[in-house]
Amino acid sequence: MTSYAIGRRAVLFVLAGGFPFAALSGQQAPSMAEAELAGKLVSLFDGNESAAVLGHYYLNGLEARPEPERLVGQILAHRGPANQIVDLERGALFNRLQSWIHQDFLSAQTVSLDGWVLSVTEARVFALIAVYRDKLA
Amino acid sequence: MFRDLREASETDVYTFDICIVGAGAAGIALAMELIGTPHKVVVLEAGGFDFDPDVQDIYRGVSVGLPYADLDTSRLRFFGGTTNHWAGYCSPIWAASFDKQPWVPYSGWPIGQTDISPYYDRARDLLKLEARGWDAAGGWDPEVVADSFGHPPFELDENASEPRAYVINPVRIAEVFREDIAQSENLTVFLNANLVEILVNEGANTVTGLDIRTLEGKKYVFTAKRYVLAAGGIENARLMLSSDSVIAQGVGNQSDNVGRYFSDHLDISAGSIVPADRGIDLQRYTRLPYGRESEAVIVNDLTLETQRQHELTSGHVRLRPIKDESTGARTLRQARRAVKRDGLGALGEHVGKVLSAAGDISEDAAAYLWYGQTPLKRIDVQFNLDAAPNPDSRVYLGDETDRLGMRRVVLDWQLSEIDTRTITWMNDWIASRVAVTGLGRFRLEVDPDAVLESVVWHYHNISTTRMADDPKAGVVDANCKVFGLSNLFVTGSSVFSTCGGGAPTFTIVAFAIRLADHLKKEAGK
Ligand SMILES: Cc1cc2nc3c(=O)[nH]c(=O)nc-3n(C[C@H](O)[C@H](O)[C@H](O)COP(=O)(O)OP(=O)(O)OC[C@H]3O[C@@H](n4cnc5c(N)ncnc54)[C@H](O)[C@@H]3O)c2cc1C
Repeated sequence: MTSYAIGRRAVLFVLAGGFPFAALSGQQAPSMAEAELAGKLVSLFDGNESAAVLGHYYLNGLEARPEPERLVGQILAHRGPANQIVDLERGALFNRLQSWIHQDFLSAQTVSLDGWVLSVTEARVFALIAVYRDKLA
Repeated sequence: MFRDLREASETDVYTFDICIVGAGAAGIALAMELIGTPHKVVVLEAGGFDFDPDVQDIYRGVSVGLPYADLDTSRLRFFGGTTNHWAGYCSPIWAASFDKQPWVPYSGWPIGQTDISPYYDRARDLLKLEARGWDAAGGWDPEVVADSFGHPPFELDENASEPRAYVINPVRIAEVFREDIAQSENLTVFLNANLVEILVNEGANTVTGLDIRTLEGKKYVFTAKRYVLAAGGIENARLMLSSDSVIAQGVGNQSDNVGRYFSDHLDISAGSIVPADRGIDLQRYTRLPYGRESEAVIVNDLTLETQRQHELTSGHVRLRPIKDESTGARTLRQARRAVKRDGLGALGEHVGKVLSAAGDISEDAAAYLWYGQTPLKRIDVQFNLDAAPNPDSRVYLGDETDRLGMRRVVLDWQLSEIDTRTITWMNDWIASRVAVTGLGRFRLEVDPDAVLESVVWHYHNISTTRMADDPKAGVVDANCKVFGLSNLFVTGSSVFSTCGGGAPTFTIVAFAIRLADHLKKEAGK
């Protein structure tokens, strides 16, 4: 399973002006690379309702729902610009995400969702999925 | 031989060389070592051969500190004592537990592991524990145990933890040794014989006799050259505190240490793991048969370096793989228990599925086909900590009296800041290691703001007459003799200076054997 089916749909969605970040925030649209990366991250969890459930849970626990750009920005913080990552193959992107998650656990960058200790990066990716699904719904 | 005190004459003289109070693990082990010696030995046991609610009621007490097991249902007051329902987990005390750890207040013993290790060999025989892999210096080699299990290792954290094996055989020592005792010529066990007061001379430096009663009110005085209290981790202290005719604070209590430092191993159901790979083989960490009569289980101890670095108390983590209920063969009782405590919460299924989506998980069927075993549903995580010594955690006498006229026990169980800190550290550590090793994700069941609420006891009553090298710091010396008394000894987990790693009974038996050697030597002088 190496396709980016959902990712492509997400990018098309963005190109059509429906990118949920911009639509939700009403703020400046993210760069193409960030939008595309967001779509690719979302697509790693293709068809996975559970990721959205966890994402909603994470979002509900926050004082204020973060802007989607902010989520992407937080995911990428100190990890290089989106355009250096966006071209990764699905497998490589998956491995990159895993290494970020790994690093989070080593440096205690974790969040608790109903007691489940998750990496803050994975929680933010799930939140992105939740936001994306809400827009598509 | 056995005698029933209720049928003995109150006017007879009962004089022996060695008088032991209590026939549980400690008393029976000590008595067995003295059978066949030239010494005339008596064991005074409060109960009969079976459970009797009237006798058991003497154990009733009040708990005013952290919640603790009911004192009249956890301990047993009849021949064989609490080993009539113990679980049989055995492991020697961890060598480093004997040393002073500067970050643990009141830690350290007046003896080292080499002082007790030779007696573990004999204790292992007495408790009928598997010999394979055994080494008196280090306990059962976890590699040997694991090899016999035949399952691959899973490295949780080789820097912070190391494996340790418990060997399990809940032998009913009362049954095993009853016939030997019945046949012995130099040993008499009096049943239904309750010690109510240790009688001392005016200087309170020598025991002159024991005031012994039956529940029906008959009174006796037993005298001996040497006396040993082996009445259990709480009763040893209660008996010393109750013996207040000559000195108000009780015998051996000149430094107000009797009853203090009450301790137990802490049992914490920390949480559960959703495995990324439900086919992973963690059978090595389950309880499996080991040898002819025993079983064994492997746990992960925190290394001494980890404890030092993070200023923690000692302890271990145990992984308990739980197979999928839908495919495993389960009894109704197990199923009910699973419903009561599933451990994964509402999000558990979703966490499992995202790990699956991340490509790490095999489907139930695939797991079954690939690994030939029922897939795991979850892995429960249990911590076992050696509570740090705390003088404010204590047993004292209340105002209510029992049928014998003795004041009942009040237990004020307390823990220390270091215990809380260790639990919190272990929670973070396990959550991180579970993810970093790819095992899965961890769900914490401990409330981080109320850590102590998750603590459960292990029924190990420890340190109330602790061993020390200074009378100000404890109650008995390195030979288990009570400071300031020439002929009174104590044995059992009440003499442990600290909780020590490992379940206590194996060490209780080793100490009893060591004391037997000491008494034989002293008596032979
Ligand atoms: C449910 C449960 C599970 C356990 N599982 C384990 C385990 O897996 N591993 C482990 O190491 N430990 C375990 N233990 C603890 C273990 O049972 C004790 O450590 C052990 O029995 C203590 O031995 P003892 O001889 O010091 O005291 P006891 O076994 O309690 O014996 C004391 C004896 O003294 C007698 N006595 C008391 N007062 C008087 C008196 N005034 N006069 C005369 N006689 C008196 C009592 O009747 C009793 O027979 C468990 C305990 C419980 C309750």
